[in-house]
Amino acid sequence: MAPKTAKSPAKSARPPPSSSQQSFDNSIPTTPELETVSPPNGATTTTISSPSSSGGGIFPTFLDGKGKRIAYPLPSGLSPTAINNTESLLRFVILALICGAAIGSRLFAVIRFESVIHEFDPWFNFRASKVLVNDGFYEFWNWFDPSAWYPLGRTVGTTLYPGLMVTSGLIWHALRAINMPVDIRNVCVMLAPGFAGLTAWSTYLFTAEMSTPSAGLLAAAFIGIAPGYISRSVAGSYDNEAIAIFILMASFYSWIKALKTGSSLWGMVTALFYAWMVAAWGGYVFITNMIPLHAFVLILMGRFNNRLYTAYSSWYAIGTIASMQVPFVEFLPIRTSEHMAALGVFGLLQLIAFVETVRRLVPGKQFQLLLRAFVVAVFVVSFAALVVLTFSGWIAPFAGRFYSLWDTGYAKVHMPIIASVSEHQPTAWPSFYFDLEMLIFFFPAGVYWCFRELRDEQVFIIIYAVLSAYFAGVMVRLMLVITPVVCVCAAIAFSKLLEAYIDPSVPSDPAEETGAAEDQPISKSKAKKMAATQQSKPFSFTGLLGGKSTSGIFALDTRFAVITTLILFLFVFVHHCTWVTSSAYSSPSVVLASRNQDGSQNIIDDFREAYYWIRQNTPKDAVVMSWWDYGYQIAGMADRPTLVDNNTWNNTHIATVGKAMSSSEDVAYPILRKHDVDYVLVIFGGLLGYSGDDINKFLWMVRIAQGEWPDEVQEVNYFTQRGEYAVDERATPTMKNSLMYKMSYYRFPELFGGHPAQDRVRGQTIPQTPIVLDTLEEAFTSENWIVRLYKVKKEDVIGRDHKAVTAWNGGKKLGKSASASSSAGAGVKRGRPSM
Amino acid sequence: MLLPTFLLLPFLPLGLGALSPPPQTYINTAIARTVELGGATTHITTQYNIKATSDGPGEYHLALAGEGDEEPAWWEVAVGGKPVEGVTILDDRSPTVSVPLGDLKKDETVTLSLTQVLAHASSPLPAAIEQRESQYLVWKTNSTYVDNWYPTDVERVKIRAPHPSILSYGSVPSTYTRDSTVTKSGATLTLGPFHSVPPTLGKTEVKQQPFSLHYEVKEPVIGYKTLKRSAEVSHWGANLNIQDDIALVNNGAKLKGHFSRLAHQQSKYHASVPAQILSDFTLRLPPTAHSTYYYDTIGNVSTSHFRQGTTPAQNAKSSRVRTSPRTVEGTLELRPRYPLLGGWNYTFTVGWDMPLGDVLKSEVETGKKVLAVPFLTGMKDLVVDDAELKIILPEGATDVQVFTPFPVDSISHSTHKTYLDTTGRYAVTIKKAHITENHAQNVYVTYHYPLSAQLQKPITVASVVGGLFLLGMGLRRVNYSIDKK
Repeated sequence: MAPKTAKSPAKSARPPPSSSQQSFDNSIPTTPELETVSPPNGATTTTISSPSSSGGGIFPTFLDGKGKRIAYPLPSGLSPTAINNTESLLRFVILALICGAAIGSRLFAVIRFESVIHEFDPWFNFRASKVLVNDGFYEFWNWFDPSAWYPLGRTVGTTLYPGLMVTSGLIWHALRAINMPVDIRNVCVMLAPGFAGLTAWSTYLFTAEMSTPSAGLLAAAFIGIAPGYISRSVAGSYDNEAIAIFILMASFYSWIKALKTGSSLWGMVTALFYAWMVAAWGGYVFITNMIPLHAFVLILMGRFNNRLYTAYSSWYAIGTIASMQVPFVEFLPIRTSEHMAALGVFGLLQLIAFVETVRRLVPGKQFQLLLRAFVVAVFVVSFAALVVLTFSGWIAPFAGRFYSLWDTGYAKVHMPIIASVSEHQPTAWPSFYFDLEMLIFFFPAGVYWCFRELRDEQVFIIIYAVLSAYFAGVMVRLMLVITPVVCVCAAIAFSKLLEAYIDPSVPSDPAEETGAAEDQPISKSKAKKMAATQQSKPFSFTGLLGGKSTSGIFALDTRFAVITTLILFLFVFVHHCTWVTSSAYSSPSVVLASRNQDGSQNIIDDFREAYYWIRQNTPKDAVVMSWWDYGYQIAGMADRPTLVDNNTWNNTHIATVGKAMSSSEDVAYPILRKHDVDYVLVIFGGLLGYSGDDINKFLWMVRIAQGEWPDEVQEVNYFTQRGEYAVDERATPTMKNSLMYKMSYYRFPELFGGHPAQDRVRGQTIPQTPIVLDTLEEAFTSENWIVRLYKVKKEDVIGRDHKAVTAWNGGKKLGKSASASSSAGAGVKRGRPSM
Repeated sequence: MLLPTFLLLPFLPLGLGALSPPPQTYINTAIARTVELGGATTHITTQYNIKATSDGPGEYHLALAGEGDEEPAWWEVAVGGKPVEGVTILDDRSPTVSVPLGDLKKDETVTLSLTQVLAHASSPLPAAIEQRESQYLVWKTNSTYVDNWYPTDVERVKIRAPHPSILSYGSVPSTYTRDSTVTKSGATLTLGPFHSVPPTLGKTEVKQQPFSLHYEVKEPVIGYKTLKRSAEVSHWGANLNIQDDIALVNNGAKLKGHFSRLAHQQSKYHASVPAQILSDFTLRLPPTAHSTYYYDTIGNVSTSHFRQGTTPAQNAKSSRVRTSPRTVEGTLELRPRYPLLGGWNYTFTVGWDMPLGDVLKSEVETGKKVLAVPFLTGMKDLVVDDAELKIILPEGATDVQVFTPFPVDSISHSTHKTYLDTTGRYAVTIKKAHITENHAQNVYVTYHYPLSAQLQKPITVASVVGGLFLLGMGLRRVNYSIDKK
């Protein structure tokens, strides 16, 4: 394929530069990339060399001003400054567009529905933000919320990560300061998309440090629209993760920067971002361990230097003190195992620095050996001390959630509440592709490129990749953590590919192919790296991987084929991301949508209907009991006290609710009365086919209750003999008598007017036998029956039990109309009270 | 544009304390009163045929209500079919106004008509009903006879209920009547005619008797507990934004027991939704209103429909206005999140935009702007307990004067800061309790708005942004390094 014949005219036109000269050019890092384009005088001399006819491929080559062969003509007559300026302008414009795209693609929910807070946890964050902006910072800091976890209450100020609320509060105040009164809700809704734009920017900076600015732009584009990140940052998803990923990338970027420059200023910037992260998200532990691990690996690789020492020490000292200012964290950084790695590496660095200093001053081999032994000894001793402290209880061992990262079965056995959350389940394989599409294939390639260069910062990427790949496999939720590194690696791989195939240079002398690897056409940035690793490169690939080959791949058709394929990949990626975002991740889950027969959108707004009814038409102190999923929503939208909510800190309390829901009325009523419950709220999807309802979550309530009262609640009793979970005729008596079953299906069959009452979620027919509720009465049911609210009756004024009262009332009806059922009549005889 | 002069009337009450009876210079030859019962409001129209008993009889004292009664929420006096000027309130306790009838000769007659709207004159009885039951109200008045300062030859009172099913009604003593005192025909009840009734007010021998009527209503009794309207003027956008914060309440009989969705859905299926349930209602908006919104504390309410009105093409001052040969009002159909049963509350916000040109005129010679803002968007049979109108003028408006079409409780002036304001906008807040559909009239505000004020914001914003750029340019050229290289 090689157009050998094309060589001679080129050679005759201008002698090719010698290899030594070229390598000299390459070794100057500051050489602008396109310096090969001629200086002004030779600018116009792009000559077409004679087309080659050998091998059948038509391969015209061109000559640039310097006489190097290039594959296609380049615009000439541009001064390096102009090119530089154009490049930086283009980068800026592209980055701005990427930020715009990142924000725009997160607005599906706002456009399709409205500016509304999504799901569950965001409602609490939103409520806390309202407290912050309405009552001020100190009220928020000392906020005791008596309406949560009734009657215990919750000291919110010390049990939450305030970073998110403080961030949105600051934005709100800043806007107020310039007289832009924006509703705090809109600040909260738009916070995640806004920070996604910033994430794209910080990912660009991070990747540009790792590789080239072009790779940075690709990485920014990828992170901007990757579904793995969008899933947690659509507009309205006002959760800690919304800002955490930006802070994560920004602190990693500043860490790399600190490490490269050895500047304590950058170390401090890292520490500040770290402190922000600590204030914002429990996942800060990832940074706490990631940076020490990086430092540790560098030490093991023998790459200890003063820059590492400065960067790490300034980060650790300032970062730890700053993080201890968060009330929720306080002394955790010195008291828990999760933080010990950072402390250990800090100590190790001090030791090594000390030893290095001594070594420089004191000659003598034995002495140095002694020093090394000293380091090892101290390390072992402090590790032993750590173990002792842990077992003696001074340092808290790893928290349960942490264990579940290593043993995926741990939570299911020990912490059913954590296991009951769907986002804590192990990740299924398809979701990697679903969330990252082609990036997941480019990811290993990018890691490979990092291995090839293996500078300090690339070691970081590798560690990050390995760790997060593990975590992402363990928990669906941690897909979020792997997404940035996948984007960065994929962008590196992608840009390497594009670079190789777009670079117009053609090897000037195919005969030199066998020569030094440095002779291959290389761009400026590659040249930079080559220069850095020139000496240490242990081996070099040949063929495609080496970027060196028969010159066939330099032909335009090859380039065109590869680049077209890559661009096609990009298009498909964008399409996939948009589709996933719009179909899977943009549902507020507070508002549901369905399609009418004519294709128009029908909005199902049952949750807000019921919550707003509670807010407007019940006493301000009415206690609402529901399963914990809805606690935050009730507090946020209905503004009423709840027994349990999504801050699942008190297992017993949750189990109590679970017990009340899963027991019969006789058992449940005293529990309800003891907890001052006025209303019980259940979610029922049977009419509409809404599958996330309480009957489907019921087994978790049973399991959690069983964890506390194994004698009274048994999961087995809720299954039929054949082990089925049934709600129709086959349902077990325990099931049928449980409060949850009764409340869900109360008067449901009547809706069908004699036809079989079909539960559309479970596809079973509900028996027609009327369900009798003695201690509760239906207070409100939403339009599509999704939310059903029951009022707990007070004790009877004349001391009868509720069964008797129901029977009495039934009897009265029997006296009036003959249509009352005979069972009610039987009840009268049995239960007529002695008055 | 000329302002209706009656707006400029002095509204101050003249005297306090018990009113002494006026000189008996008039007699009423006939009084015919019609009482239209509704849910929350009662409309009363009374025709007085008045004869002067002497030359130059002076002003006529017209009682709006009996002794110790509240003043009606709204009233209007017309003489000979025309609105009359110079009506003054004389007393608060037995609300009376003096009406100048002009210079009458002896035995000259004149026709005076009084229109009144009472708020909350009816109350539900029984006070609590079950979901499917019908709703009955009882209307009570302290005065069977028309309250009057002058003797009356003949008077007749007609009470019209909205529906023929009247459960019971009171009785009237036969002191001034010859035959039947109370006659019922269909939904109408006729009291009297009463003959030769002496003045009922002042020192009098007439003993007023309360009268009550128990009747069915087939419409929900709705009221606004509060209405906060804000009207924001934008000259740059040529836009008037009106936003109402409304606390709606179903004032009918309270729900006994609990709401059953099943029964509600079944009654819908049988097309017999009980009358006391408010499922939806309609607001009539100006023809040029557009960009409506409807939300409440927890977000947008998706169950609403807006049919934009139309206006003839030559009147369309904005591209967002629909045009057609006829002028058609816009209708905003609102469905609360949940049906409102008796006693239930629902708080929400609606708003819309309209072209400023429709409500703002400029006086050519003085450059003064005259803005007309409706006090509320009326709805049939509606009572607003507390209404507040806040008119926000553009930044830099001066010489603000407010003219209200009826007496209001308070007018206050303040500064309102929004949207990159520097000095803040002039805001006028008008408050009034007990308003009804009849109060849906324009409040007029006049002000000066010089060009310099109009340019204030663009110049401020431009200079701040420019300043930031300059600052950035300067900061980039400073070397911060402590390293002295």
